[in-house]
Amino acid sequence: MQLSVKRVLALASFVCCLLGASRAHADSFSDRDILGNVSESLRLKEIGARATGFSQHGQGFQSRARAELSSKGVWGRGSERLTVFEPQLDATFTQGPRIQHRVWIPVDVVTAASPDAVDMVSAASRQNVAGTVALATTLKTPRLVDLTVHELAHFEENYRAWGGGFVLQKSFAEDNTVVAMNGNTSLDTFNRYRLSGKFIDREHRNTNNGNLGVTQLLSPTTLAHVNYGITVQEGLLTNSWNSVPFALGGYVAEAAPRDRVRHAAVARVSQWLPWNGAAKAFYRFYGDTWGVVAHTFEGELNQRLTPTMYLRANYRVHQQNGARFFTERAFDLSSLRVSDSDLAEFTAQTVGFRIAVDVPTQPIGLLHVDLSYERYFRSNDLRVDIVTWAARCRF
Amino acid sequence: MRRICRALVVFTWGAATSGCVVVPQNRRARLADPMMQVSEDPLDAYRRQKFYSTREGAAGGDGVAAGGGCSCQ
Repeated sequence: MQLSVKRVLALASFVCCLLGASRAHADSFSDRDILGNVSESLRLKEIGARATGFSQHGQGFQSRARAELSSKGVWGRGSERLTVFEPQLDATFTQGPRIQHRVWIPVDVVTAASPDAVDMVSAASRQNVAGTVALATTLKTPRLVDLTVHELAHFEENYRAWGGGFVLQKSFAEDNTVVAMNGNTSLDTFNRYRLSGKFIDREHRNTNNGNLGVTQLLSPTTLAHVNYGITVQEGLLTNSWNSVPFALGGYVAEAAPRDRVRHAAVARVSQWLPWNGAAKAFYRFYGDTWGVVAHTFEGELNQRLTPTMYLRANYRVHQQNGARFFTERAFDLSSLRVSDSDLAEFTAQTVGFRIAVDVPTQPIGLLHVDLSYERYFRSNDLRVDIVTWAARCRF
Repeated sequence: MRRICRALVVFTWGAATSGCVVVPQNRRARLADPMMQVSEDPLDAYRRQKFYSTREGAAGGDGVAAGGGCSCQ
């Protein structure tokens, strides 16, 4: 049998292709090939701390603190004065190239929350210390999805909460599109008291939440993100110490439905500006089965001052209508009622600025420090001054 | 509400299937700047979420649960 030169070349090409393909398959790179010998032991990757203080002034009908009696014998607004000190600490560890662990401990020290109102019940109204311990572990699987599981325990006087959840994240098109979904659940248990301070029983509240979000690169200078979240709550949805002024004098306890379904949809855009700045816009729509509908808009301007320092100015406006059973005084003990100013109709605004510095330091790594001031004020008499600073090291 | 959900589904589907609009890795220097991040520092995000969810009855639900987990509802 004689083979023409063309046939020999074609056969040789075919064999080469087969050999090449099988060799390429055999030579597929492992993590060790790309990253070298990566230690599987636990290594500190990042550590951060943030401290925040607020000073709040204002008045609300749910508070009995220093409330004044009207000429008709009905109690008016009580004080909502309080101060909060909120330190937080977190640390992230890697365990090999694919596993990451994060430990996070936020603490809240609230001073003078609802003073005089529930002092006969607990010391929580004078000074309330609440702490949380949270853990999250992420498993990165480049060809599948990144999976994070997290859990937390929260401790507060008369109150305990446990929570857990998962996050699934998948990147497409060289990370141009990132789709993330998560599910969260929390179970809260706490004491229920009469307004007189008498213990009634141990109550619970269960919260389940699901979110679906997409982050998309739109251009080399534009980034967009959308998210939809649904939250379903069941149980005692009041906090058992807020009160409602009664039309015939005195106070009665809040009475709210034992379930609530809450929807929130958000959209964010980040745009790079040619003068070394960045602008961000954020819109959020909210609606729930208690009749509360809200719109929130936030704008942010960032300006880089030096290669390591930038300045941020931000403005937020939030407008919501009240829950359909919100009232400033209760007339009927059989109907639903709340007088919590947080569930009233109001417009809230926040203005603030931040200065942030990112300095590469040789022995430590990247050091980030920021300092912010914000003022929150709203149309139904609440004002809060907030100062927060943070330091973070990436090794 | 239904219109918003429909718009979100369309955007999600569009974003997930728009792999042909690719910004190459070497053109993402601006996007990597800390000023451009859509997600904040996690401790700052928690601070903000806690602050607003304890003062606004319509807060939360943005990637995390709306309510629950503390005694402020």
